[in-house]
Amino acid sequence: MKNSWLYILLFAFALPCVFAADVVFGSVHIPLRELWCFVRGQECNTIYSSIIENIRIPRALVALLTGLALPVSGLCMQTFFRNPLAGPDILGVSTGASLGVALFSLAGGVGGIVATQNLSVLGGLGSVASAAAGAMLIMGLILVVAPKMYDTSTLLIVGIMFGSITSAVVSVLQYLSNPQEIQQFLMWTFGSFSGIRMAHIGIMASIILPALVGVFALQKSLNALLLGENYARGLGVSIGQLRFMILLLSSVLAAVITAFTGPIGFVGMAIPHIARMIFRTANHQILIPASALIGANLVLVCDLFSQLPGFESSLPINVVTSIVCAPVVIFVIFSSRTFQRS
Amino acid sequence: MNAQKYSAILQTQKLCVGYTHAKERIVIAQDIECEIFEGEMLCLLGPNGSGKSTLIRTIAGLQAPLAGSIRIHGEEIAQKTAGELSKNMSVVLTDSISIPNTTVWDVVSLGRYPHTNWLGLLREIDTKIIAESIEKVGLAHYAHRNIGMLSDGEKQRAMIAKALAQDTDFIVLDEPTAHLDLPNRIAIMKLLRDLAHSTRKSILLSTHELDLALQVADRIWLMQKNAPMLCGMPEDLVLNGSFQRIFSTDACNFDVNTGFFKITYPVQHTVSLHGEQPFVLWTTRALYKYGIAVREKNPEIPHICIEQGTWCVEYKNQHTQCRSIFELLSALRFS
Repeated sequence: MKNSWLYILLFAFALPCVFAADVVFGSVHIPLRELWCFVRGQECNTIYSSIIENIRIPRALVALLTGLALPVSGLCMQTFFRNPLAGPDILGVSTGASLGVALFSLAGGVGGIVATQNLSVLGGLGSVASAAAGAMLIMGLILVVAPKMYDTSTLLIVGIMFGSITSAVVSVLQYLSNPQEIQQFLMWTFGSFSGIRMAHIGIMASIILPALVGVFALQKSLNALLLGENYARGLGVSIGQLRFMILLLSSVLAAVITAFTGPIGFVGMAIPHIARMIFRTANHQILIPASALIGANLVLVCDLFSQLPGFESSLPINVVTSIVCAPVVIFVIFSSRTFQRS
Repeated sequence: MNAQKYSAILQTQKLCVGYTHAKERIVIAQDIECEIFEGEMLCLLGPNGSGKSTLIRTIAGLQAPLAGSIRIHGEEIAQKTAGELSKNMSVVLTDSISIPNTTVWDVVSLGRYPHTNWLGLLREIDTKIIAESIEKVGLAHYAHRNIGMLSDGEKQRAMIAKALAQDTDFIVLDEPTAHLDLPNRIAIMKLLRDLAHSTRKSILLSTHELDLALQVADRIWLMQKNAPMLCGMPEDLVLNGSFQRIFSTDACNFDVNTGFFKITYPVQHTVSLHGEQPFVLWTTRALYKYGIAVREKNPEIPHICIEQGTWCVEYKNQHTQCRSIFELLSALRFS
């Protein structure tokens, strides 16, 4: 237990370093001296400080928030559904977001209307709003349906079905759209941390940070939930309330991130497993901060990889996280006793 | 035990249990009137489908009664929140437990849930109670073993320790002996009886182990299909014929004289038997399986004489020596 907190401190200390590295490295290398100069608010090279202020720091902040939010959302889903392969996108919240964006970027063409909006897919608040609306729609449906479900496995199936229906609708929209619009939509599905303004990051943080605190407040009930809903109720957990809070908070975390960055693959599902492997515990008091900190570190590192020096353009972040995290999932499957035939 | 001396911890009145499915009430059992006294071990028995699990789940607060009332310490269960109820009653269910990276200690410490603060931090008293609970169920040397590595019997003990750690004066268990082998079934039942008597906790459990229940229960609740539930000392229920009536079928009979359930085989042949125990007992049992009943000696039927491990069959002036029951049965072919 004491060792666990030591590790958590370690990850917490690593975070500023990785953050600084993410700011410093990129298509233009920024000398550390200049970053220090910027941090202390001194007069320094205006080109560098403008890159730091307008591009690098917002980008790193979005990566940081993503890394904090998605793993915690995934951890909640895995405990709630008692399914190690559950993740933030399991309930179709991310597909809901993609439906929103698809409607926004493709439906114009479908209706035969010339898309007048200059859809800067990455920064346009229109796509953010439509992604959020799509995610909220699916989340609302889940919250309405959840109390009627006898057990969580049926809810899981309903969630996956919602996701399938939504992605089918997205496919129909793609089929009916012209190539240029499809390309814009595809760009969104690659995911991106850049092009988000500080004001919008403020909005993200003001939703995500309270939601993370909210999840941590549930940690004791989440621990009881490890025994299953019936045992948890016997221990004094009011299940209806807990269900609602878990679904609400983890969907909000996933929805906000997906709305701003597009889908970010595997982070939410894989990182709780890394946390479990490192900390060898199922206690959420440890796993929640551990998942958030490991996630933040890892996503910043993924972002570093996506913009390796020497390359003019950066790799899509969704691709990098999938390449880094999918092997982790495979490793978990092979190393975990619960997955293997006994 | 004089019931009047003890106060009832739990009481039901006109209780009706079952399910509501698509706005239709499906009644499983009704007019259940019973009570549980302090420090008593109660077994809930009944044939499959008589509603044992439904009653247990209803008493445990996992599903609402269709009608009637359940009072714990005089207060209606339905009026209580899960949090309040968890301080009066702890439950052990049949739900399977498999949590990676979790030790027996971790699971048992979850029993302290109703007593710890929002962070769930264990105080010194909590740690002491957890250690004692693990000790009482005999898992002390497994305390830091992963729960996934335990056998079914040990897992059941861990869940009982969790219930003890919850420190309630009433524990309800749903089929705690399911999936266990005979020695473990006996050990768990004995453990629960000892706990009820040493800690003065009341323990209610449902089970299919009729023989065991007769031996360990202070009282029995006997559920039957389409008739009210019976309560009483197991011995009283046997003597007034309730046991035989509810559990005897064409294939099986409760033997009042031995207290065991006996499979009914139609008697096709008769023999007489003489010899020493335990040979006579086991020979009789083997013969019974093949529809051969043992009667008084009579020249019309074969006579079996067991001496020093050999079976002599005399029939119509013919003598056959057999060295095992297997040989005896071959010799006895009545064709």
